[in-house]
Amino acid sequence: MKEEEIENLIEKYKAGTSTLDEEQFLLEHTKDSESAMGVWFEFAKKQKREVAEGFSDTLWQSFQNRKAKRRRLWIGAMSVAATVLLLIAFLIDVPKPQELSYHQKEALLAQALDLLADAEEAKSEENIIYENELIIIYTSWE
Amino acid sequence: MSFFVIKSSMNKDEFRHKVFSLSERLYPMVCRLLGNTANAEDAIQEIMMKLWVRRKQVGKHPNITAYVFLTARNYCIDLLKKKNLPIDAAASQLRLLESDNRHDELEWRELNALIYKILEKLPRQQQDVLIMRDIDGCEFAEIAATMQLKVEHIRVLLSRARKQVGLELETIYSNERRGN
Repeated sequence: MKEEEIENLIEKYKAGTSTLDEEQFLLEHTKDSESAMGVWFEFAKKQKREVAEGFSDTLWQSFQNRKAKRRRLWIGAMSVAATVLLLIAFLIDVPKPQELSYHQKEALLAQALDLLADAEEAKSEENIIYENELIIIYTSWE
Repeated sequence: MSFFVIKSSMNKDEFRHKVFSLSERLYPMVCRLLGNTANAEDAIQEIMMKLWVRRKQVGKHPNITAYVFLTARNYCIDLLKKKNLPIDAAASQLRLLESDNRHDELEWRELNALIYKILEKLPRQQQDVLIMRDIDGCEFAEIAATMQLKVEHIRVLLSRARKQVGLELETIYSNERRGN
């Protein structure tokens, strides 16, 4: 390529209208001693990271492995979680109805007896003297 | 009678062809952002895993390349944030270059330092665009997607940055020549 053409390409490059291929050409064919821009091209060329051939294919293989590994891990984690849940379900005690202590039972019984005693007393206050189908004769303290 | 089948998500082959094949294009940018080649491969796999999980959305996206580039950049930035590392402007993510046989060690080091200085003086957006294009070798559409700007705007930023770099280097060179 003639010098003039390279100059034109550099102008295009500076205007931001060159293609990646044209830029690659400039990077490879401009010597840093020739122009100020050449120093930049040299720098950029050295900074470029080379992508190994077949990079995507190699990476695809390890991506597949990683995906499979992740799926296995996921299944493993889910089964562990399910087992734990099942165990917890078995281990949890169903709360039994609260049982009363001996003293509480005793107190309740006493209360009940009290009520009964009152009723009997009330009954005994009416002292029946005579009773038939028509009449009841009784004495009372009232 | 005809049947229309509406496909909601991409299958494995489609994903490999349309999304995973972009790994090669992502690699330089991811490498630069993370500053390490081993980390970059790992990061790309993680990015692809995210995209695989979201393949339904990706398949429907009108611009898959843009979506992939933006996801990649966001992933790298999140990773840097998680590690409490600073998210620098592009120029400070470049490697320090070693001299080759063609250059005198001292001269080359001086030259490198000068270029770093010139780059750092550029506004951040110009810096990012220049480095994504000239060093990462990205297409305009890819840069536009990553920076969420229009392609025309990218061209303007790039042109300004390239002209500025040329001008500064020209000044240094002409001063040197005058000095000699």
